[in-house]
Amino acid sequence: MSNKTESASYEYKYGFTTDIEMETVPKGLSEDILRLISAKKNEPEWVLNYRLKAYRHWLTLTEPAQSENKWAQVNYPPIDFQDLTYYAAPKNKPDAKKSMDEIDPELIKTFERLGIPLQEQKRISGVAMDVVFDSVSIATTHNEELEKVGVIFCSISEAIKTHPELVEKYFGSVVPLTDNYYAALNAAVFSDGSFVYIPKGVRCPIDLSTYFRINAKETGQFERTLIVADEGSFVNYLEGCTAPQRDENQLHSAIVELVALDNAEIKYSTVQNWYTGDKEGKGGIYNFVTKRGICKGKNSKISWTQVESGSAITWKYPSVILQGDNSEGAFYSVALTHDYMQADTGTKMIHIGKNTKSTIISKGISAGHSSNAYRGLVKIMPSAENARNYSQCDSMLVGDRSSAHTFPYIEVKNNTAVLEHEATTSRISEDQLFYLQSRGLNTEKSISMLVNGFCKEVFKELPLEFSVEAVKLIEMKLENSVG
Amino acid sequence: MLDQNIYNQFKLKYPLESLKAAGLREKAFQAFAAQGFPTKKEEAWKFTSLSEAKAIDWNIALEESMLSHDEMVYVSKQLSSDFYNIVFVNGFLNKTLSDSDVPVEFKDLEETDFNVANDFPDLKLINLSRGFSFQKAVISVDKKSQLDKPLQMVHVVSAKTSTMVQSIVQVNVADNCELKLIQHTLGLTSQLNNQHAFNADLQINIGKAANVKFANLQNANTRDFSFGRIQFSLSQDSQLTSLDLALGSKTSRHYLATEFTAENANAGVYGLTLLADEQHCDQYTYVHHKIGHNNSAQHYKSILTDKAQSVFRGRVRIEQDAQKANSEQLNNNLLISKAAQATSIPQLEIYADDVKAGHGSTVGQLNKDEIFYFLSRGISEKKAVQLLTHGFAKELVYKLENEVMENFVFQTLESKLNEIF
Repeated sequence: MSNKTESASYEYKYGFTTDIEMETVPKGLSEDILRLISAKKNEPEWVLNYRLKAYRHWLTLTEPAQSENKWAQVNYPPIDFQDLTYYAAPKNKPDAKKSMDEIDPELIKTFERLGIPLQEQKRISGVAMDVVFDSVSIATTHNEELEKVGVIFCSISEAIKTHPELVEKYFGSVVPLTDNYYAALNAAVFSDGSFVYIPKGVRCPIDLSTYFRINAKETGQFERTLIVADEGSFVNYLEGCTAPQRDENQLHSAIVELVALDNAEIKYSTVQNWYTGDKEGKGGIYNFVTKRGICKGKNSKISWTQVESGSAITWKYPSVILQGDNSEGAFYSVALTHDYMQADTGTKMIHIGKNTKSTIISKGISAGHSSNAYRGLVKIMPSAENARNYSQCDSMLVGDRSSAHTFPYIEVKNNTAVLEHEATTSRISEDQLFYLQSRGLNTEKSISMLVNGFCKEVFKELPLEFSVEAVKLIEMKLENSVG
Repeated sequence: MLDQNIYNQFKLKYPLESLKAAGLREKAFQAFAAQGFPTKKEEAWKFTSLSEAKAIDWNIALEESMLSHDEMVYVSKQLSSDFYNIVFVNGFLNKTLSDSDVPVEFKDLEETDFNVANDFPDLKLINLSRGFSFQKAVISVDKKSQLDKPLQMVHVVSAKTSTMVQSIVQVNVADNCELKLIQHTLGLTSQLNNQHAFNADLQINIGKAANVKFANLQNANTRDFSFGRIQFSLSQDSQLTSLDLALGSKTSRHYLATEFTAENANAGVYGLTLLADEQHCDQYTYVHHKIGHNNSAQHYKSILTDKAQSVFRGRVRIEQDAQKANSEQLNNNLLISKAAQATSIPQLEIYADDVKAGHGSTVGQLNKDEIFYFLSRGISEKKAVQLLTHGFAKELVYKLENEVMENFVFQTLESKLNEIF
């Protein structure tokens, strides 16, 4: 922990490591490694074949930041994929069927420090959790309550075994293995993640949540989440993540797929707080994620809400394919970068069905030496009669060494579409600051108030607990960046 | 084919005196021969395909061609007495049609004319231009040679085969001087059976406290290709108003860059794309605030009917030292028909914190209520559409704030609008 000396300043409080016996596979990536991972996880043959197919495709691709046609506004040295471990699991992993008491007490402690109590009596009421530690899911809570209404909420590895028909039908249907470099890599080596199925007409009684933790050194986390909302169902899903402070960069490359059938609605919220690297930009997580949802059915709705405050580099575009008529997609995002962080994030809204609607609200805040880019695509296909999109992307600069970029792509192939896009970039207004200071607030408090106001439109979309956490998080992160 | 043979022929006819420049020209040609035209794989060309141009067996215009009597008459009609006129045929000055008192001279290409940044998005087209050029036209405006009327520079292509024409023009406006300039690419009706390509490179250097009003009228034949690069460099306290009209060509690419090299300059950069049938136009603007305390305003509009397609990519970059820069950008697209397509890509890259920058982009069709208003007053739907689009288009022309230029632009615009609707 390099910045212990500056005890007054904000420290990444999730930066500790857990000393626990781990079971890993040898470093490197090859077909043998994939076979080994697959064998360890005891997977059916179709999964192994899927992994191999993805791996073979991945070999034909070039890493996007190294490619000739590089488009993302991020810079990092080439990643040595042979120097990573693709599977790491705590040795004393409880069998999912067994009781909670068998979880390694060290793990329970870890999650308590993170504020995620696993033990039954301390659980946050009203939220069911799936907890992923490095490559495996170690616990899923509130199972019985969910089973009563027929909701399936378990790790994807378990789902592959217990609900193969559902998983096989939807797995890879939204993000095909050929989608992009990191999607192919994930499809080859994916470790664990959550699976959710909400049956017809069920309104999920409690919020579902997954907590991701990277602990082991030189590992990549490749989680895979699949959420299927059957006709007329509703689910609110939350995701949170942290990692220890390490000097090396760690890779996190996930795929999240959402499927909403007729009249279904999925709300997906993320507070991403991976380790960002230290003040000099050393270490931190590379967060290269493919998140995509499809509004397959009529009147279906998907919304992504994200607070991106962590990771050394973020490369993430939660998207919605609006296939069903009258379907709706939304994207609400706050991305905060500080020190030497780089973020290239945004969304894609692909309008295919009639009367489809999408809303994009993106707020970027860059401080320190960081670079923060919004990159988005709104595409109206010829079949999308009366499509409607509203996009607003605002950037705020805090500090004169930071940069903010906006790269929206708008493609319209149907003249009945109505589309508006707006973007602004500015710094905190001196008048506003002066106003607050003249009322006795100090500079830091004033800035944090103004930033919170700037982000309000997005925060209000978050579930209550997350919203409170997000406000605090932004406040803490800014504390040190404002000079 | 633009191959070694045709290049050798060209080189033989137009050798360059400077050995260094000749070497650089050879290098530019070889680069083009190896890489060819830009492809959709390149980010900057993602929405514009040149595969049709690539398939054509191009010739290079080796000399000015004699215009027929009809062609002369046709061009003369465009040469209003409100302007000074210079006419280029196949990239060569036509002395008969040009006024003699225009301060233009021709200079052989020098080493410095071959400087292009490696990451320039249209590098391949500049390689093509440099590979097949030997001179540039230099127009210098200073206290002695100030023009009391706007200057019109007309480009026409006349050839029996599919011919590609290169043009390099440099305009220098001295400190405290004024220039009103129209660059007019005109398609000859006599040439409708041939497919030509015009690759124009125009650099306008604006001196301190100088004032430039510029209009680019691209009205080539609708089977032709137009590639253009226009670059403005603004000095301290200078003023620029630019209007870029894309009316003609099957496929066109307009690259327009505005660069601030000193403080307190203002640039208004406007564009209008009006296309029908299967026309495609790609407008790429780049506003570069290298230095602070400058203002830039951009407003681009497109009106598309039939299967026409337009691409607007507006890139704004504000460097770290360009504090107090102000940049606005707006792009409005009007889709008249079902199959028309518009793509809009505003880009903001901001490295300074004390700046104001914003962009807006809209795509839509004509307001049904407005059409109904016309109908309820007994005006036909066709006429209503015509009037509303006229109104939509005209707003930008008034930005020129020069009646002579405005009237001339209107005239061209009207005839295109009447042709479409």
